[in-house]
Amino acid sequence: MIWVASTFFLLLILGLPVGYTLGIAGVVGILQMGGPEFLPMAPSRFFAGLDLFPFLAMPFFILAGELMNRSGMTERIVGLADALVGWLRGGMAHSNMAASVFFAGITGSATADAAAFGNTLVPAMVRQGYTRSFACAVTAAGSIIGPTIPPSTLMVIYGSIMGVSIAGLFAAGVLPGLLIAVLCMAVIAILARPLNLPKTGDRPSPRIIWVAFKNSLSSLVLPVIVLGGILTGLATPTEAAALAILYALIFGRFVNKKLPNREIVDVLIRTSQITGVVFLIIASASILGWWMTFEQIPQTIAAAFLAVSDNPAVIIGLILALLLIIGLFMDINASLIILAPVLGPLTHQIGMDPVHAGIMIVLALNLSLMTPPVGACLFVLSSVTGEKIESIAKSLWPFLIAELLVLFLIAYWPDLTLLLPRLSGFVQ
Amino acid sequence: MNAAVRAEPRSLSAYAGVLSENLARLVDKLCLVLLVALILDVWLGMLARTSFFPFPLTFTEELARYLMIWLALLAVSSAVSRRQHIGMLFVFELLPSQLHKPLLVGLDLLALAFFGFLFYYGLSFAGDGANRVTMIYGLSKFIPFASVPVATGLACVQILLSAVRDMSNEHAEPGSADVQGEE
Amino acid sequence: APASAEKVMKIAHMNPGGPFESHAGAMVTVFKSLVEAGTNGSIKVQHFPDGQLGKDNEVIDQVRMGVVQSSISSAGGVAQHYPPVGVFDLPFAFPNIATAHDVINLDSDFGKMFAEDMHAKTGLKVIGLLDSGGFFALTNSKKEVTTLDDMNGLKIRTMTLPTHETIINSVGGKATPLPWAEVYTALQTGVADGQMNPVPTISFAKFEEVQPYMTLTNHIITPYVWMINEKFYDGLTPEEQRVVDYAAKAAVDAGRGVSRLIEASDTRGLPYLASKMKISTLSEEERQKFAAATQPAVKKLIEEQYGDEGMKLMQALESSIEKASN
Ligand code: NA
Ligand code: NA
Repeated sequence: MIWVASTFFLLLILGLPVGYTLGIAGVVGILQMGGPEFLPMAPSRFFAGLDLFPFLAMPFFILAGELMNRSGMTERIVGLADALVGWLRGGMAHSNMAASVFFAGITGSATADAAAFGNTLVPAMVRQGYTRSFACAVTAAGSIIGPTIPPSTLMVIYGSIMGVSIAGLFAAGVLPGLLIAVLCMAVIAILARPLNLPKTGDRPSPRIIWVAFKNSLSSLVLPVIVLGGILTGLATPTEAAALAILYALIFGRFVNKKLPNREIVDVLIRTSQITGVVFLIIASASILGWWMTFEQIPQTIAAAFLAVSDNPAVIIGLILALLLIIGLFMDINASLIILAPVLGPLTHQIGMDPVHAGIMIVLALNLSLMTPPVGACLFVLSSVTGEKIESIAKSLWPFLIAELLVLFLIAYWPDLTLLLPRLSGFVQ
Repeated sequence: MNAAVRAEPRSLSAYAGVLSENLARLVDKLCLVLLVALILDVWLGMLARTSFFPFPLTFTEELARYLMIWLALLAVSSAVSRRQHIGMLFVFELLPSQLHKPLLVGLDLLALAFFGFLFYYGLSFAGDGANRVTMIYGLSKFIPFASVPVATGLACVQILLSAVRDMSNEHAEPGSADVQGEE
Repeated sequence: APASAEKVMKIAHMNPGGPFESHAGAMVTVFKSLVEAGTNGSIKVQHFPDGQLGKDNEVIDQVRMGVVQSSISSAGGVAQHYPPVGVFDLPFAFPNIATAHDVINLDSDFGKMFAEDMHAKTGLKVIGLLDSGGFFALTNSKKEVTTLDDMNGLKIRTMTLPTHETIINSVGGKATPLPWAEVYTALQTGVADGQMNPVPTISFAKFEEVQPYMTLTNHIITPYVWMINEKFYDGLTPEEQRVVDYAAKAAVDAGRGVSRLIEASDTRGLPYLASKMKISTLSEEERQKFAAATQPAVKKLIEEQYGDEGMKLMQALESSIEKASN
């Protein structure tokens, strides 16, 4: 374990790309296991790590975002946001956060949200005068609302593994998701003056707002189509991303007449390049994740932690610490599958409601998506926008603090999470 | 960039650079075809479930996964060539510039070892796939599994080519953060 | 970690790990206890539930390589290594659960033939064969299904298995293969109208939350195959092998028992589902209609896909069922 950990950190610090570093650390672990029979596990997990249909949503939303940008659809939405809140200091940052909430109702994956926004809203914010790192930080902070507000793939996995009502988890995720948005908006409001966030000028007249609204109507239809596709049962949340591509393509090409073949080819190639970068990290992480599971490392760490106390409040604190620490280094799906069965029963012992415990665990792992060194949303954003991970991380910490605060509120105030599930009858 | 690529190669470095870029472009075109096929496949899958589609189609979900994996893994090599894979470069950039070249060579060798390892064991992995069946009309899993040795083999070639290319580049870094942010 | 002197047997499966949560959880718990005590600790059993080490077909790969020593895997995973397991998908082959118990069993003639054939084709030693939690039932969100006509136009999610797809299509439904992770949401939004699975799986996945109707169609019952790496087994002393053989038998009994227990329980089984869904059964007449609609199509498919060997295995299955029913 020492060898794997030191290989990982040394190579990461020296600047070896994350996708190689994760894989090399995993291979070092596999080599240490000794037998020649273990060696083929590297290519096998490398492949298996990608063999999941829901991963499709990520390249598809990247592509849809690119098409929207180049066909002028993004510009029109930004124009409307500008007219509505642009005159406020940090207005665009606020509308990014509001859009995250809206988008969260459509997708179940934070990386897909990060990809879509990194491609559309971040460049728009940069044009308005935001630093790219701040725009990325707002987007990263907002992206984890995606798997917190239903639908959420993570909650489906948790509910199935632990036998907890998925509908109950879905209902319980709504308030925490909104709370994240509210607190992050508070952070934006607080930072607006010290960071001198941009604003566009005077408050526009109703007429200007109306014109902006009319112009953006065709773009505003897109999320309606995506959501409608899901609600009418035409598409799964993953496939909905493909609907977005279809609409952006038809609209950009035939209505806006802005997508010549040359542009479409460009966009497709760029999408596949970003996919290559992000998916290498996923594939390599699954080699390392398999080794950690095989050597039962998360369980060992959990056992050591939990030998410390039997006070429920302390145990909850330790569980959160464990989730956050493991989340620094491990892919979220692997963490969930391994830690849920270890921690779930423990929360039961200390008398937590299973839905409450599930939301707490899922939310803590969601936070790991935006923490370095291994944070999928950071990787996606960095790859899509070209901003460095470390500079995104630097702008991110105020939001991280706000989201940690939400996590602690959720953990120690059960009624907050359980209000909606109780009202809808999923929890007594 | 185009001009540099089209220029007459004068040195081994320049030659490797041209070769690397041309290979990357070829792979990009392949990825483009795969991505189009992937999108069409997912559209078809949705269409096939609607009531006005005449017969059931059941292979689209599995086919989508395999197309996605082939696309993503092939694209890894193009990103190797352009040093687009994301890394944390702040320590590298802090180090004295005399150290950059040797460190870059060292890291490239490690990357070569990693992809070489995946390539070598990926060959038998793909071979084993010949004895496993997919559910798409019983096709063998050799077809999806072969993406691992093919893509990692290509990555090895690109690591070598870009290492040779960057021997004459004072500013080369092991990974990237800003190649994509052109707009 | 360096290898220690004792023999470590890692067992992986996709189900929850608690002894009362799934048949596989019960099996490994019982097996671990019997083997570790019975060999004075010379064999140590490690339990990897919930698909921690990979999906069924991937873990079977790991068993074949000797990375993991054993797995308890569903027919869907086994099919990618040993396609003829698809003969179990012959619909309405088993008249009742009693016959299914007697046939899906390593002690039956069929079970022995199955284990030998699978061993010959894959090198995997089969140490247990049991059902995956009872007969498949059909759930949906549209209407109560009690007749063949009711199936018309229903979009039913199946695994990506040609035999399952054929069953649905041949009764007038529309087979809709979806990845497991998306099934719940798909049923909720209507991407698929319904799905088919054994009762414990239906309650495990919480489908009662999004599916108001369930019909106990009893159309198929698929096996779970418990396999062990041959080299590992051959490396055990004769005494250890005796303990492992016995423990496997006892564990399979416990696994079957827990499946029946879950089916009967009012927190996870039929009584629970009955409080959340409208549960129906098929009349004998309708059952005959379903069988007549599905059997020829699936038989043809088995013949096409698995050739003479598949047909031989299917005939053995049918004659074993015949024998057990009398
Ligand atoms: Na969501
Ligand atoms: Na992280």
